Amino acid sequence: MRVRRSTWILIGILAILVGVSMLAPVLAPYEPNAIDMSRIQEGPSAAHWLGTDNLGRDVLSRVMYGGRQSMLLAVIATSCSLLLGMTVGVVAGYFGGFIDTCLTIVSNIFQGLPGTTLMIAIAGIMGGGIDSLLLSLVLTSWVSFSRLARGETMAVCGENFIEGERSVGAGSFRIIVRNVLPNIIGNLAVVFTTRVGRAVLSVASLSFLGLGLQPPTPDWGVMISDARGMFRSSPLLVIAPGACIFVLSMCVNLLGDALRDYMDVRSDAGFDK
Amino acid sequence: MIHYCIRKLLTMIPVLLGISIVAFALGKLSPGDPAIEALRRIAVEDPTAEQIEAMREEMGLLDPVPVQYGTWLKHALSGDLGESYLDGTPIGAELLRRLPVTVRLSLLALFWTLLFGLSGGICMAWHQNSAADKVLSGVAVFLLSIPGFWLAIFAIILFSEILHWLPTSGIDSWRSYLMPSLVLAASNIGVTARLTRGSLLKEMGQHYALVASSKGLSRRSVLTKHAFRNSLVPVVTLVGNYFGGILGGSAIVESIFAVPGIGKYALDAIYTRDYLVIQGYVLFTGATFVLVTLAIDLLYAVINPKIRLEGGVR
Amino acid sequence: MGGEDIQIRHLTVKFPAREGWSVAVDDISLDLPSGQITGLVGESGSGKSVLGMSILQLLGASAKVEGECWYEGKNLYRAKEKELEKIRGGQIALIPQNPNQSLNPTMRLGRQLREVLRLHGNRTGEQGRQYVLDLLRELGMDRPEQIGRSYSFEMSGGMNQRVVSAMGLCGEPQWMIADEPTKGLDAVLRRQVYHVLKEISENRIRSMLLITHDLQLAWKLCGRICVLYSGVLVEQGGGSELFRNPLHPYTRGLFESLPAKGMHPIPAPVREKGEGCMFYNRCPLAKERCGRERPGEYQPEQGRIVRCFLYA
Repeated sequence: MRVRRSTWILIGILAILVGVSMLAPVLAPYEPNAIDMSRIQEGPSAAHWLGTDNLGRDVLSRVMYGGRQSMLLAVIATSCSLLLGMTVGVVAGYFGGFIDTCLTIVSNIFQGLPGTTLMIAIAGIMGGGIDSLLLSLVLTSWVSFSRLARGETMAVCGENFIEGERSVGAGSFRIIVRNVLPNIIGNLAVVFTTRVGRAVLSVASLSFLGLGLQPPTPDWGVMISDARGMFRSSPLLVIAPGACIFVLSMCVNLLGDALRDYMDVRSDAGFDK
Repeated sequence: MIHYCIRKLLTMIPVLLGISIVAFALGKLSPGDPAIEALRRIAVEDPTAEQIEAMREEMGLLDPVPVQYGTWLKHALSGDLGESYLDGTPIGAELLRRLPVTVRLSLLALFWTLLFGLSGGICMAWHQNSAADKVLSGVAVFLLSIPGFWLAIFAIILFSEILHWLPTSGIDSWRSYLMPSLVLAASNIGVTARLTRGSLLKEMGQHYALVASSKGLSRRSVLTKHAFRNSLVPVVTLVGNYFGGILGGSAIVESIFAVPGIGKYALDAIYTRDYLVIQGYVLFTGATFVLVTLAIDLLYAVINPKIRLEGGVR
Repeated sequence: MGGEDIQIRHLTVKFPAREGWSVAVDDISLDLPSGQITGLVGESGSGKSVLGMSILQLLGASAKVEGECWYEGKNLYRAKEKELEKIRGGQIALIPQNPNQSLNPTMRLGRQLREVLRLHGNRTGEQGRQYVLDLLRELGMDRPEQIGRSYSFEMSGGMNQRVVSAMGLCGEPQWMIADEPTKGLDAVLRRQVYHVLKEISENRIRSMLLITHDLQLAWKLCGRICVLYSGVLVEQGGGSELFRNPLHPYTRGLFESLPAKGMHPIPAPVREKGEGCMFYNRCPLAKERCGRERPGEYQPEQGRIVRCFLYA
């Protein structure tokens, strides 16, 4: 396994983003929510590297804290989607018939509703906050995992060795899971990565709309939303958190690409003629 | 072909029903007691338990849930989605009035997606591994990673406030659609371009493309006359998904650019806790999406003769 | 050098591999005389298709082609893309392997056939249509009129085989390269292909390179046979002599594996390209010298060339 240098750079940037966010309580020079009305909307200075916002809060500290919740949410929500999607997919693929048809219809329904629409609706009805974000993220992304698992389960069920192992007396459902997982682990990793990237963007968008994380939470999306009207006077208030979201989402996307390339190379390594 | 169309129409029905169930469920899950809300609207500020009970009875809230769903669906199908808590305007009519704006915006964004996505993808595939390919790939990743709302803020600052080329908000003329639709299309342009590139290169590597070259066709002709049409098959399959993303994302863009579409209506309703509007929004968006997906499926059949002639396996 | 013969000199084709290069064709020099069918036989992976495709320069960008290929005074390996476009289909045509996958699934067969006429022929309109119809009929199609409006996936493999053959003939080339025409076909279809090729070689195009692992087909059609093993040309000779009396140990093994003589499958190739003979590891008659030194080309009798120390 050879990992390209550009991939290492990506992993490095991601590690920095995640590391800084995790260590924010240690690294941040100020309390992210400490209001200082004497220093409102100041430009960058030695004391406040990225300046201060309209309540005199230190922008650098808020940016450092700003990814914690959305990253965590994105990873947790995508993991939940993975578990849900895998379960549904394996069940549908294994039992087939009526159950499969029902589950396919259910997944078609979720495909038939634009993800953002559903998210807006759920957040709108339940009110913004972490639980509604989690629910809407899971509901909108489990389908991509279930499709993957369903297809592979059906393929594995068609193979003979399953019959063989069944005759030995092993629980067939467990065999399926054990045979399905190794085959889709590569694709799963790719889908997981891209989904995490999308989830980060979704959380940011919803928070921007006021439907996700709520102020005064130091969050990138919330910060941009708060600072929207102040772009002309203090552009850094919009640029800094936005750039963080952008770099994070780009790194995750590129990492997904690198993973896909790596899987591709492995799947057709044989060279004929 | 007729077979294929009928099958597509039939698969549409459970999806539409499902969407209506989701919309209904969202309404049921919304906080607050509809009976009390209704009483408030007829100026009963402090209702007694009896009044509430009577109102529930009258509104059918005591019926079993499936019956409630049936009644609600019947009303919905006749265009009655209830009235706004805020000002009592009928929601169905308001959504219908605003729908063309959203549809226009979304279709324009889809147009940009296809125009720039396909041409970018072709350009990348044609100049494979060259500097142009790498630059365009970079642009594509940039577009699909940038948060739409952030891009929108920059676009407004640059094109409206600094350059004064385009209006900031509202819908006055076709120029008002330009910026929102491009922002809305941005991430999909990136995705489409990458997909087209990959698909086209895959087709160029197919055996039939080699045989086409063996007949004496130039690389350009092989690409345009043979590979391109085949490469559209996976692209068109996903255009439906893109349109879903556009339609959903249009709410965000509508809110930033103050475009009076159904997304903006729904978002405004959220801030005023007008839950029936959200319900109607889900129903409308879902129906629009399903109908456009159907149209795309039919387009798919035109591109792929295998489906046109055999009814297609999938 | 010139004329209608195709003369290949010191052809080496490499593909980029995990580490370094994978050599598909290793320093082959070969004359393909016009006016007869030359068969290029060998197992899959022996480099025979790569050699055939190199003549038309259709190996793809990743392949590294060294050497010369002379045809009508031109070195095809150095020819410009524009020149090659005229030669492909117009002077040297290809009957590809795998007919079902050789046709564009979203273009009607008629258009794919007429495309060649537009590029190379001077027949247009109705005249061209008639020409294609005659061709299809000649190749044994019952209702050629219907074929033009069909797509490849509506046709059987045998029908598609005829369509691609007709496509090769449309440009009225001097040469035809048939690449594995019977690969993956059942016995009935193989017979049909044989008749199509025989028909073509007798009535249309006399100069042909037949690339095949199907020894019976080669035996029945070819005036000359070249045997490839692991990218190296191990033996050449007239068709009937070579089959009657194979000289190289590899050729003997290959012919003995014919079903007619009772199967003796040759052990799987070990791809270790050392100093010595390519066949050293598998050769029943290998001597110590064979592992050390690469054998040259020896001519034990008129018209036979063998790369083996047995005939030094």
